[in-house]
Amino acid sequence: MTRARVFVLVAWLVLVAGTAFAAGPLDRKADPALRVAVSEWAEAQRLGTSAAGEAARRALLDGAGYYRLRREPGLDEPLVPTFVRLSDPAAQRALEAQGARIQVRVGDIVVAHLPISRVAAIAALPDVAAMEMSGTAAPFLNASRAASHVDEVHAGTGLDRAYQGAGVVVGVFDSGLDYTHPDFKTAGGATRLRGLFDYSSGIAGREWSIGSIDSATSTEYDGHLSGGHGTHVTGTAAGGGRLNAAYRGVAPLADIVFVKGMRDTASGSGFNTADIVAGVQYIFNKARTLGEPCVVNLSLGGQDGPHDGTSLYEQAFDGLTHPGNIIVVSAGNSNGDYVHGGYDVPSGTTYPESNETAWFIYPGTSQAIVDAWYPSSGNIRFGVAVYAIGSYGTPLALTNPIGPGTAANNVTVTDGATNYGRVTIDATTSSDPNNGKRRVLFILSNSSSFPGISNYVWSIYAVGNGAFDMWTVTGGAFPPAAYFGGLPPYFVAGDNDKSIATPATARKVISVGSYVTKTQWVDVNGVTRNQPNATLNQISTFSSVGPSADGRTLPTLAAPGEAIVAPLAYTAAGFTPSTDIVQGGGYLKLQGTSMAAPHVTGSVALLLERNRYLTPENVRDLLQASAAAPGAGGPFLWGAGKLHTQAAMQATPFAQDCGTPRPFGARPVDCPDDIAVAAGVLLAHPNPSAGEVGLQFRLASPERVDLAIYDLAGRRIRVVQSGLMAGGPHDLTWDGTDDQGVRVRGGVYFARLWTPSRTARERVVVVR
Amino acid sequence: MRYAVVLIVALSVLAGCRAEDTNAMAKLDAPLRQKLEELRESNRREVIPVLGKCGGQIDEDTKRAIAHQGATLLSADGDSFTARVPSEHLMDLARLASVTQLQLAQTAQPTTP
Repeated sequence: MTRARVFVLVAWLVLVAGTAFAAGPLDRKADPALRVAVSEWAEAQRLGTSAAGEAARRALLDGAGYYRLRREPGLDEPLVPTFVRLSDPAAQRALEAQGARIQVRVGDIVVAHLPISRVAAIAALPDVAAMEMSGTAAPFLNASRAASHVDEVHAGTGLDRAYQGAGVVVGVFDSGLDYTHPDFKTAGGATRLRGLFDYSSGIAGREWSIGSIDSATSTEYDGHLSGGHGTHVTGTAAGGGRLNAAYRGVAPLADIVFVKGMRDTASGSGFNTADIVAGVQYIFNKARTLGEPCVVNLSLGGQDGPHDGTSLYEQAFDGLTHPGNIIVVSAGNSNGDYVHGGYDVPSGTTYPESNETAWFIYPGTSQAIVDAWYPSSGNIRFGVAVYAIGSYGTPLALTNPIGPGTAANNVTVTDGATNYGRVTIDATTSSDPNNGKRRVLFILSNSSSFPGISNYVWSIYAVGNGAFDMWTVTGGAFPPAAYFGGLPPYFVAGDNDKSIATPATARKVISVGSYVTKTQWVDVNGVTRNQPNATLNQISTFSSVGPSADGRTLPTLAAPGEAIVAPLAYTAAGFTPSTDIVQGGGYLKLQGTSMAAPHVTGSVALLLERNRYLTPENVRDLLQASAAAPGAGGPFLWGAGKLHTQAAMQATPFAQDCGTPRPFGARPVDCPDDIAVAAGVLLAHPNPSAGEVGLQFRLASPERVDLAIYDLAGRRIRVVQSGLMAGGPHDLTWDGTDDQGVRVRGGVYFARLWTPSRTARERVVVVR
Repeated sequence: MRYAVVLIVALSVLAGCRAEDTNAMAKLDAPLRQKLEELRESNRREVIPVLGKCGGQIDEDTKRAIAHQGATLLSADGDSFTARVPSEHLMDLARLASVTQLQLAQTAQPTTP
């Protein structure tokens, strides 16, 4: 070792020892990342406005590193996202006095954003025990955005420009909204909400002013009993990612209109279907006032009604949808719950030779309801029997069968010694006014003298003839025989078919199932957590199963719905397991078709930004035609496949306001000259035309294409294209002549596109 | 003789009322009928949320008529409406000629498992 090296070593040891002896609170309490950040910022400030100083600041603020400082509008210096452990919870005030912004508190740890110049002073506070700089959590909402190809749309990749939902209203009817979350504010700190309605206040609800939101005097909030459901859903659809850009929503520039749908402030009561209809109408009316197209998210559902789109509840949504007014609904999480039953009753059967379905009552249930429907061509009499658990040969007691047009109200099911429960079988609806079907409602309640319906296994038996469907509305299920340890062969088990919840069964809504795009996340304590029962790229095990009762393939499509990270409501923070709050705080991991639907809602907002005149049918067709290939399972789990927002955008004909004021919903005829069309859609331009007609379409991959012009009689008059074409956009020209080169007469013609994967037709008007 | 006339008139009115009530009751769906039955048995009153349908477009006169029966109208769109009705006034609403159907609003839940 040279003398010089020895000198350096000694000097280093002296320096280290000196540092150790002189260690201040920052050195003792802060983790290395925080110390380095403070030190590097001080160095950048020392370098001043020199190029080196600017570069050092940029690296800290905008770098791609795990540790980054955060700019806050109106502040001269950046903030450091930091976990601070307090020995006394009251010390939170001392932090705030130093300019810290408290984001969330979990036990004795607060997640705070500290002005970087005050970090040392905060470290010196006696009740600050430890400080750890927050890293950038794995971007799981980002993962779902990536899987749905939303990020490309935000960047404008493969499109004429970037789309982020500007000029479109994203409406959400849900448990409540933490409107103070930064993700629902503009860069200037103003609210992004354009309407806030609150059913927890007054019989008809109340509307809060924008001023009351900006001044935080509105008392609307997302009650803790919902777990922050509404805030999370809204963040996925339209969150701005201001607290953490990784968790930006699908339509981050959209305007937001929110309806708190729960009538209790704590948000635990569920939603009333009358309020849901009224709330959706409020959102569309508000959007109309703003002159903006609108998509409404409903991450909710139930199992009542005929599930065929004909109930007043389902019809109401059909009536509310219009061009530019779209509704997206979660499909429900009933796969595995055995909420559906039904079979074809062998003609002429009588009890006890009849079939029956075991009706399991959830423990502690005081009332269970089943809703059965069948065509009026059938004639079925239903009864209810009760069995001792494990003994299914002979019932303890049973009711008489009740036929169409009659009812048994509040019949005590008894063997003379024991009253097992009270049953109502209401079969008076022999022809429902909306679908002509017969309806039978079963209500099983505790007997006042023996409150214990869940202590027995009940069954519903059917005699007569006809095929029926029934759903457990509340309180029970129709599980398979194995669940009971075996049942006699005449028991017909329930299943998970037709378990799509209402109102996802309405005919003009987009219904969304859930699939898995992520299985892990890092929690607020830095621990990696795993999503249970989740397989990447496969349908979620809970995602409800189609078809609808009238045979429509549902859901419409599937979207990411597991390990989804979105804004955490401040009210829910203290009631949420820390394992579900992600690293950095302020965001929460949830799962469900509730989380899948807002991915589609945000995507529809992007489509509406591109074309505000899309009808519900247009949106459904675009989403389905562009969907990516599904995983295992059939269309009753996946619908058309996985949400592919970029492809849907590319397939959407461009049509905006064209700068001319028009009645909302009226599609301009002179507008779409600059149309950029794609996948599955054929567009003629100009249309009407006095000369040549452009025919635009896009192919997802190389395919054989046959494109021809037909007259009104269905005669093919001109072949425009017949043969293999490359993938991508195409713009072919029909010169207005027939196959003989003769100019066709003025009138209506049809351009028909055929490929092995799709067909499309466009009406073309020729004027002479 | 006078009593006989009075009796006949009274019976006619009663029969008319009963027919009117039967017609009105037929407008209710099964869950709403059962809800009324449950309230009657327990001698309770509630404000009942309903979804309704009318024979035609709901205009201002129809809205007024619905409200006049004690209902709080929540929304109206085309021939459909939603309202909250005190249980004691529900049959009054059902008796309106313009109202053709009433369904009990149900409870939906957030779709998180």
